Amino acid sequence: MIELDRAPDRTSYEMAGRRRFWIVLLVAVVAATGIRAFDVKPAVAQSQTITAWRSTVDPGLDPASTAWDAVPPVFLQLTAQNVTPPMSDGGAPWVQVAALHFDDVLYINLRWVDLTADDTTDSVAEFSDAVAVQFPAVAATSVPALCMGQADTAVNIWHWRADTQVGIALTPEDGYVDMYPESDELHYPAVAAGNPMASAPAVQNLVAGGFGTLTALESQVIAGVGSHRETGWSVTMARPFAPPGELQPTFGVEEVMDVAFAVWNGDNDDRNGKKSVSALVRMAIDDNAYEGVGPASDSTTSLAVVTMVFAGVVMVAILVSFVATRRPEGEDELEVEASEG
Amino acid sequence: MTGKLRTSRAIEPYLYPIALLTVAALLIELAALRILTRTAIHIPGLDRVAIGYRVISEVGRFAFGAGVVLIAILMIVVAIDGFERGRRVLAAVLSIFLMVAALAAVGAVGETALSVATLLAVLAVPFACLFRGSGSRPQVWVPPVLFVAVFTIAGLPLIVSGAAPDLGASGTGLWQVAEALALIAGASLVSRVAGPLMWKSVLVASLAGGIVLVSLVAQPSTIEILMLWNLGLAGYFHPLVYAAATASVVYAAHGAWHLGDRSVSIGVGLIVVGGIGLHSTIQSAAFLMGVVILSDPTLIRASAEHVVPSVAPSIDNAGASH
Repeated sequence: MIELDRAPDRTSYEMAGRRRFWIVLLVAVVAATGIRAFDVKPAVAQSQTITAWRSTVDPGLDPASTAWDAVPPVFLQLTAQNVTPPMSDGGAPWVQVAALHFDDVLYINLRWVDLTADDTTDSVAEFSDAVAVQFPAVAATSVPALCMGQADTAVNIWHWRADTQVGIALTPEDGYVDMYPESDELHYPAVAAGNPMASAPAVQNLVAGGFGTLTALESQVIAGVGSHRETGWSVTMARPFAPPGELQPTFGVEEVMDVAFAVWNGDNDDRNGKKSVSALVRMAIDDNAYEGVGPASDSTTSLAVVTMVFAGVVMVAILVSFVATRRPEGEDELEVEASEG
Repeated sequence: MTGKLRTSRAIEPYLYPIALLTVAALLIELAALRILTRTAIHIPGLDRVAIGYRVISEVGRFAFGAGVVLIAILMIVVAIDGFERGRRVLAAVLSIFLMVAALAAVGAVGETALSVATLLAVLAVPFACLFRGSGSRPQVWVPPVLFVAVFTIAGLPLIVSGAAPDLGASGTGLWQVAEALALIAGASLVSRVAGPLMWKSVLVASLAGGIVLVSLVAQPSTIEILMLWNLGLAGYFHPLVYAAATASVVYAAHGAWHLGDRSVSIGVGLIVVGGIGLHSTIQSAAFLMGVVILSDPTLIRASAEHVVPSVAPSIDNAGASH
């Protein structure tokens, strides 16, 4: 038991404490109501941020453009998508992302390690390499669910596929027996019906509001080019700031929004939900060109200031604490005797 | 055992209920918003229970707002208390973290600076609380120091990735080390409960460990992704290890609570809602306060004495004993 040498004014002290508690509780309820009512965001995400710097030259769609060498990429860890079947065993461990904007067009460059270029899917057992970028349908940092959005908040997805970039070979290279003589749309019902998979551009512009709701948008305006080298893929995708239609975010300088990425490794039989996904990170569109002085010039400055202030205050506090502990104890001590029965 | 808890000033009696409310609000937010609404969207036909879904979401969002306010008040109260009790390093650490987090919320501090300030604040806690008293025993300082190490190692890849992009891909190894240390830190909490084995706590702990084991074996994908989202644990190791760590944490929290020492339960609760690594300022604040309360158990114990009838001794009061 611990026995307390209670001070004479203990009761009034506790009553004062109770009063303060109820005041604190009232403040918390009022403030929480205000935060919810006015949609205030008092907390800041500490996830990784991709900065889309202003480019002084047009980066274009060439994945090997030298414009990408001038800005620092961000490495994002990927995990196997294993929330809903088909589940992945992790075909890509990480993806390297960089972003630029030029003449009110947003460019995103994605690179990842993949030793094999899986860009043909002319048998049922072959799967394509691919990569996707996912934005909230309305640019924001109050995010819908990472996994394909949710019922009341959609996500816009840019899906680049290696096989659709190469295109479907109508005439096999190794013979004419499989060749189909007709080439007009009447004999290709999927094309005639407007199936986006049959006439898809390299990058599909999609929208989803939960699992099983992935839909191609009418405006297929996302430009994208991928190229494979010895170590892996480099893919660039681009879209003007102004959205071509509904359920697609509006981009703008000094805006911050959430974004997530997914990578498919065809050689690992990745397809559909069998993919590697990142967590949600933030993308900030910066009005400045990258100056090459660290991760971000403003962050570097504030980092130095915060570190110096932190170190300075802690050192002063240690000094004051050291001096204070050398003084005799005050009279207003609370002593607690602990004795074990 | 006879001990004397000496403070330069009485600890605020309302600190304990505020801490308890903070944990409750953040746990409700964790359950309603971060777990339930994120997994419920996978249920086919969810639109048929749209009203219930929306009510739970609103409860979670309100709890989030309340949690933010309460954790800020808790930090201010502990900082003022620390200043008045001569724990000025702790007061300075909490004040600076609050200031930087507030500046970050209005965009006046960059993300790298915020991340570094968060890691510095967490790293400073052992110096502010533990190593101040020369009598601290391993049972007192080992669990919080391990948790501090876990948070630092898990948070480092984020800063490294921002400041030195070429090194960013090396983070996976650090996260594995952090996860292993997190499990060890959880297991080490058992040392905070002194005395003979408490069978009721053993039963509760076994139940919790069993549920984790069965869940991880039966449905590993869902549980692992929930662990990753909410605790920062990716599930690198065998399910038995997670079950054992969970049982240890629950035994420590339940056992200490049963003995009248709320510091372990509240400290662990805040660490759980905070998760390991850098996620958001609110989660970092929760983790920071969890480590502070584990490091300085007298804070909650002396405050709770005004509410809880008797406080049994536990081995972790040595830091403040004479």
